Order: sequence, then structure tokens, then C-alpha cells
Amino acid sequence: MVKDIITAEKQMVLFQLGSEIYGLDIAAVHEIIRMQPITKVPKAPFYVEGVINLRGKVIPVVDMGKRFGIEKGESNKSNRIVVVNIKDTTLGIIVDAVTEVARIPVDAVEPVSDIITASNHDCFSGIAKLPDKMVILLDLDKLLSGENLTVGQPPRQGGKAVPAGAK
Amino acid sequence: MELAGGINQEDLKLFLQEADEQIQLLDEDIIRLEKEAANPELLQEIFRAAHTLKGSSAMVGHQRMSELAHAMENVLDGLRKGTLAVGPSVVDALLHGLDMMRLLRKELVQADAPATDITTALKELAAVMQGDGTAAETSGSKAGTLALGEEARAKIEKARQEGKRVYRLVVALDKESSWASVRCFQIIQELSALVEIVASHPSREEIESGNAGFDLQLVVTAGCTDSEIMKVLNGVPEIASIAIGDLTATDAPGKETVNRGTAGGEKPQGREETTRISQSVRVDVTRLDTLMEQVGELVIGRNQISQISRMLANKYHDDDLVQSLNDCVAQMSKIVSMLQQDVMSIRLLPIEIVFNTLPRLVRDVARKLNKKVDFIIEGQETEVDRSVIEHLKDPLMHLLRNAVDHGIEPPEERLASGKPETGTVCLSAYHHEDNIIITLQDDGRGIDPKKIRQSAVKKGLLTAEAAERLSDEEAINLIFASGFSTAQKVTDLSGRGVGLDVVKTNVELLGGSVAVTSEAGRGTTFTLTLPLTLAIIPALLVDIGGAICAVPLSSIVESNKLKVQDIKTVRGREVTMFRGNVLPLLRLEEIFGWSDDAGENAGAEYVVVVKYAGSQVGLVVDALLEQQELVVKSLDHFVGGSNGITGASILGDGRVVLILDVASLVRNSVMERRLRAVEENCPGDEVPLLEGVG
Repeated sequence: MVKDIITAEKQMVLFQLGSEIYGLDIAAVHEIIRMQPITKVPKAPFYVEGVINLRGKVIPVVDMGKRFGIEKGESNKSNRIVVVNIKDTTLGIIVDAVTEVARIPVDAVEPVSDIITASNHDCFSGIAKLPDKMVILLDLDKLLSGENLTVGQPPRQGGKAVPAGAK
Repeated sequence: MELAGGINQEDLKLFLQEADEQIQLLDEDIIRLEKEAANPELLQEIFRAAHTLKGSSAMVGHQRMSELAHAMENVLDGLRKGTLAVGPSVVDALLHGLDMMRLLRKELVQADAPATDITTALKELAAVMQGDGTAAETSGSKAGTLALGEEARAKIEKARQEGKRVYRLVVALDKESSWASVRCFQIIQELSALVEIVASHPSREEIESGNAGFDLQLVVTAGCTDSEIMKVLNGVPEIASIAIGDLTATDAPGKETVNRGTAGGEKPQGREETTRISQSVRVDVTRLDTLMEQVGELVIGRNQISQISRMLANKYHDDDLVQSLNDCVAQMSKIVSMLQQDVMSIRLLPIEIVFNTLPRLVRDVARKLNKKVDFIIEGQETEVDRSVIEHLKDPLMHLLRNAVDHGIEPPEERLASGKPETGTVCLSAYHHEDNIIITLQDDGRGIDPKKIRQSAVKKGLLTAEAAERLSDEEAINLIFASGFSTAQKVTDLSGRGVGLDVVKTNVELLGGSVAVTSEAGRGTTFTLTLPLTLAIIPALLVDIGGAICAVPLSSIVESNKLKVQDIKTVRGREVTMFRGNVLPLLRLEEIFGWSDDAGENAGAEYVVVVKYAGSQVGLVVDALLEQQELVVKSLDHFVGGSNGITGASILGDGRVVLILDVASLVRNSVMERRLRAVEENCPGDEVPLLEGVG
């Protein structure tokens, strides 16, 4: 038991989205920047807000709220873009606010029940119960894995099936 | 891989580079040889290349390669001496040998490459030798005396008058040496940089054909001292002894004899290479790419600084400091622009690199199909960016194969229609504005628009009525549609219906375009228009519903103001009259789904006329902003893709703009319209690619 206490802790960046708190493994977080003008990209997946200039690099920005279908809070000064590295991709995630970096003991994490995740292609790795709050832990790899990215085009576009120019 | 001991990575790299060059040279020349059989210089050049290959492969200890090179050399020697005649079988054998050579070279770099079996190639080469009855194998000449001919004496006399010294050299090679001829050749090579060789025994020819013994006698004229000559000779390994002395009238033996132990090798071979390297430097491509990227960043930085300094100047007009800052910035801008151009030009390569691989293809295809084809290349010195060159080979190969397979008729058919028996395919490249234009012209049977129409209808690409409505030119351009091939029968060379649409896609990926013109019975011309570089492009910035996008200048014909009353509709689609033609309009806001329903700003809109598949389309935008050089940044795969965007760039103020891919943009929206028309089930309305153009 002693062994567990020593090793089993994870550092997570906690951020707020609507009324919920989410957690990202700190190792995946590259940096956190203020909101900045976003250039929209036509016909990108609906939750991709556009692209921004991160010191000379053009990176895509996704809206987690749209991704999960959560009402975002009012845009205000505490809005942030969390820049993460996933595999070879650098991308920004818009969040309402970054609250803290917390140490979360592994045994506080519970697997997510199927009922909750079914609609979201299980991109949650678990739920951590902290004394004062619940934190939903995100699995970034799954979040952006191929399938989850391309589906979810707004239904309006009937003509998306056109393969022209693909490949 | 069997290699000689003591060969380090650096040597191997040099060898590989040299082998590449020689193999490529051989490839080109052997093809040329078939046509210019009577050209002794060409033959000499080929022979030299083969010989160099033999020598250098022997030096790194690649036995099989040097064996093969030797066999090729024998055949070439036969050709040179006239005991063999140039013919298809000889050329085939040589080319086959060359292919094997490539495989052998590959073995050196790929550890897992299977060992190449060169016996068939060797047999083929030997058979060619036998085929003409006269084996050109000459007996290895034994050491004899060096006789000076009339010509040599004259040379010596002249050199003496010029104050040069005349030396007589006697070099004995180590009897253990397995590459006596190679060493002799090496000695001659090394020396010829320093002195003029007046006479040698064995003769240069004998040495080059690999028939030298262990003794080499030379008479040379030189403006340098004998110790300098010794220095050079000391660099050649496997020399047992060297004797050097002034050549007297009586041919007295040398006064100085230096004995060396077995193969000295205190100096590495490769001096020849180092002298060459000092003239030009080989740089790893990735380094150039990084450099280019950094210069790109610098350009962005420069843009930002100039913008800030402009703003400062506006704010504090008469401040001296701001003034001098402005001067500095102006100076710096100039330097950055120059730097950018220089780096770009470093990345430029002559298009030769791709073109030179093609004659072989044409020959092989023509021979397979029993057609006679003259392949002419023009403008191979035209320079293009590396990035473009890399992607050019496949499309060109496709087009060439097509030209020979479908374009050029068999000889009988050509004669019957009153054309010369031999067809001509001409590939040329030239610069035009900021583009490189490549044309491929054949004088074959041309494309019959009627056949294209029939075939397109049969394949269900469009309806009969729609096909009839197309102009001949549009019909011909249908060959670029996917799933289209007019070949009567499928051959293994072309005609699987995947050719031309791939060409089109590839060229468009490069930001270029393909057009085709053809006259039935007279021939076909393909024209590829490509940007010089992909890294930095000039573009026009336009405002689309409040967002700024960039349209590459390469695809723009012109831009103009567009009045609302000039917009007409044809069957619900917007068009306008432009220079006497009907110009279909595309609203980018609509295509992108950014339609701001409220913002019908009556009156002032602009149209950017762009090229698309041989015709023109107008893109409607809200405003034209400015023209700028943009550094292209790629977008992540999941925001990019086939949505009409090629990439993004960063403006001086740090804003990100999207760069439009006009070709895919127009194509996609045409496709979408077509689909919608099918969905709405109004058959009369389906295809017209771009109605009313032309």
C-alpha cells in the first residue's frame, strides 16, 4: 500500500468548460496562451474554430465545447487557448478558463461508465473525484484519432461525399 | 556486400555520388549512341564513363560491379575499334548492364537488398561480342620499350623551346596488385593534372581497355620540378618503385630511383574529388530546406518590423530616431529580399535532372510497341525549385508514355497517312513570368473530340446532350476526368484509365495547371504550367466576408470591379460578361458557407478571374487588398484536406491568412453543383463543366 502512495499521482492541468472541470495530463500541455484572433477555415470539421499564429507556426484551434456539445460560458478575459502536442500535431484547445495544476492520486480516478461516454467516442480516460470537485480526464490521443476527427461534419453539407481532389 | 577493407563512409559516399553521375551519364549517352553511332567523341565519352566506373568500383572493392563495367567496356571497345556495330541488341545489352549496375549500387546502401545476379547481363554482353564474330579481347601487352613517334618528338621539341622540362618516368607496380590497369590509369589521371603526357607505354588506349601490365613508362613535359611529380605519384597506392629522370637525347636511364614498399596508401584516394569539391559544395537537401524555412521566418519578421516602423513614422513624423529606424528597416528589407532570392536560387536545379531520365523511357516504350520515335528535348537548362522537380517526374512519365503509346501511330499507319515513318515527340521547358512552362508535343494521330464524347457518354461521365453541348476543346479536356481512357485496347504501358487524371491531380497539387490542345491527325500538345517554387508565392489578398484570403497570382488572369447590374443569371447561376465571353461566377462566401445574409453591400464587389482547366471562372470577393509575397505554411491535415485551401501564411501584423487552391476549389464546387443537380433530379442540368465558356 505504501508503494502506491508514493508513485500513484498524476499532475493535471485543470480547465473549465461551461460548468464542468476537465483535466489534461501536464505532459501533453505545451503552453497556455490568451485568446487571440482566429482565422476561420472553410469546410473544416465543425468543432475546428480555425487557425492561429503561434510564433510563426500556423496551428489549428478546436472548440472543446462544440466537440462535446457543451454550452460555453461567455467569452471573457479569462478565456485561454491550451496548446497541446498530440503525436505530431500541435493544436490549440479553447477553454473558458484554466483553473489550476493539480496532483491527482490515481486511486481517485474511476473509469467512466458506458452510459456517459457512448455519445463521445470515449475520449475520456476517467473521472477523478477530488474532495471539492469532480474532474473529467481527457484522453487526447483518442480525442483526435482519425475517426473522431472527420466525422461530425455539420449535416448541412450534402455534397461532402465528393471525392474529388482527395488523396 | 563485399568491400575492400579500409573504405570509410566518406569514401563510400564519394563513390556512390560518382557512380550515380556516371551511371546517369551512361544512360543518356547510350541512348544517344543509338542515333549517333558515328560520333567518335560520344563513344569516347561513354567509354570513359564506363572506365571510371570500373576503376572506382574496383577501388572500393566492389568486385561484381567492376566485372560488369569491364564487360561493358569490352563491348564499347569493340564499338570504338569498329569491330562491332551499334545496333539495338548492343544497346539493349548495354542498357541491361546499366540496370544491373544500378541494382549493384543499391546493394551498397540498402543492407537488405538481395544480391544482384549479374551473370545474365555478363552473358548478354559477351553474346553481343560474339555476335559479330570478332572478339575484341586484345592480349595483355608485356613491358616493352617506349618508342617516341614523330608527333611526340615534335611535342618534346616545342616544350623544350618553351622552357619546360622533359622527364622520363618508369613506374613499376607492386606485383601483388590485382588492379594494375586501374593503377596505371590512376597514375595517368593524377599526372595529367600536372604535366602533359607525351607518350606512354603501354599506350593510354591499352591502359583504358584494361590491358596494362605492371610496368608503366611515360614521357612527360612539365613546367614543374621532379619532386612535385614524385609527390603526386606517392599518392597512388601499390607502386613498387618509381624512376624519374630528364629525357636526354640518348634516352639515358633515370638518375633517381625511389623504392617504395608495398602499397603505401599513406594518403587516401580522393584527391581528385577534393579538388572538384572546392568548386562546388554538396549540401544535404534537408539543410537547404531548413535554411529556406528560416529565411521564410525572417521574411515574416521583416514584414512585421516594417509595419511597426511605418506605424511609428505615422505617429512621430519628425522624430530623428524614427527616421533613422526607418532607414535601417529599409536597408534591412533589401538585404532580406536579396537573401531570400539567393536561397531560392540555391534551391533551383536545372530541369535536366528529370528530363534526362526520359529518353530511356521513350526508347523502351517505342521499342516494345515497334514504333519509331524521335525524342527531342529543349530547354533542359531551365531552372526550377527542387520541390517542383521532385513531383514532376511521374506526370511527365505518364504523359510521355501516353504520347508514344496513344499518340504516335505505328510506322505503317504513319506512312499510309503521308507522314514520315518516324514520329516526333518534343519536350520543352521555358520560363514565362513566374512560371515554368513545359510542353510535350507529338505529331501523332491527335485526339478526336467525337471519340472523346462517345467514350465519355458510354462511361456514364455525362449524357449525350451534355456531351454535344461541349465545345471541341472542352471535350478534349475531358481526358483529364478520372476513369477516362480512350485507348482501344488496354496495353501494359498505358490505358488503364488512371493516367491523365493522376497527371492533373499531381500538377494541381504543385499549384500548376495542365491544358491540352489537339488536332486530329496532326498531333497533340500538352502544356504544363508550374510555379517556380512552392515555398514562397506571390499572391493577391482579398476580403471575403470580413476574412482575408490569398489567391496565388499564378492562377489569376486579372481582377476587376463588378457591378451588381452586370451580374446575370443563367438557369439560376450567376454569370457576367467578361471581354466578350460569358464568365461563370463563384461566390467564395457561399462555397465556404460563410454567407452573411445581411451583408448584400449593393454596388461594390470585385471579381477575380482565375484560370481553370483551360477556361476561366470569376471568383466574387468583397474587396481586393494588396499583393504580397507569402511564405507558405502547411495546414494540419485535419483542417486542410480537399477543401480548396492549399495552406496558410502569416501577414506582417501576425494575422493568419488562408491560401486558396483555385483548381480544387472550382472543381469541388462544380462537382457539388452537379451532385445537387442529380439529387434534385433535373437531368437537363447536370454536366456543363463550366457552362458557356469559350
